[in-house]
Amino acid sequence: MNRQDAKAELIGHMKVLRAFAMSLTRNPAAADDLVQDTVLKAWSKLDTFEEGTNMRAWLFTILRNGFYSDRRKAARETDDPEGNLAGALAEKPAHDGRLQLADFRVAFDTLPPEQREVLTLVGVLQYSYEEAAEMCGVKIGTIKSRLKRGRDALAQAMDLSEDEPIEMTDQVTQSVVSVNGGAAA
Amino acid sequence: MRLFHKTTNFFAAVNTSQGTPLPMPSKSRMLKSQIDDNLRLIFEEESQADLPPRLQELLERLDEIDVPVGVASGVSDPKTEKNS
Repeated sequence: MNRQDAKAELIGHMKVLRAFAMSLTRNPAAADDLVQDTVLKAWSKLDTFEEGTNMRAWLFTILRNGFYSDRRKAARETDDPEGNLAGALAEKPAHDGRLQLADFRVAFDTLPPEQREVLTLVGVLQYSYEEAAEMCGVKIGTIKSRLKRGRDALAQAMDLSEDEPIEMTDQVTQSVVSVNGGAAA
Repeated sequence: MRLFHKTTNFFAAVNTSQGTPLPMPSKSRMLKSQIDDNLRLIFEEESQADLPPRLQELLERLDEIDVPVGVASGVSDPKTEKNS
């Protein structure tokens, strides 16, 4: 692939790439570091990118591999092999029985990155289970399991469950309408 | 450029053109939709933010970066590196 064409495509993916980094790190500075490393790696390994395949997925794979590599390294240095420290420090959101976006964001932040990653890839970006499994280097069953656990945790954190009626607030209505209207930009 | 990989139509499975009443989506679908929509709102907000200056500078200077022939230092092939 021509490097200038690749650069143009790379630039086109930058904002989504940074948002994906944010979904993993939940920290702007760390997300910027991760994106910077990803761009440098991608640029230096451009010859391994197969033209005609999905560059965004390729970039996501590089980015998440870098994230987990750094995380493992940090966990070894802090003697926290399971990465539990950050989770233990996070606070549960306040409950008021309604799905408030600010509380939802806090709940999302408390999830393990493996679940945030799959929720983002499948729930937000609409990648298939197969595509997400390929990007994450795991089996499809693992993707489904992480997705379910992530959604269950978010529902639980927000005091919502399948057994409880969902209050049809304006926000809920707007959410359904906005999805129905095609959220693709 | 499209933000989302595919588009979603929540009522696609239940919509009809016959003028018949639409059945209410199941609670689990409503819940899933509500969660995914909030996730989408968060992601959309973050993906619309301007890039910080240092990333913009990096893109502008990308052409100046020497690309090692063959093996790039510290670079792993995402297709062969498997993580969690």
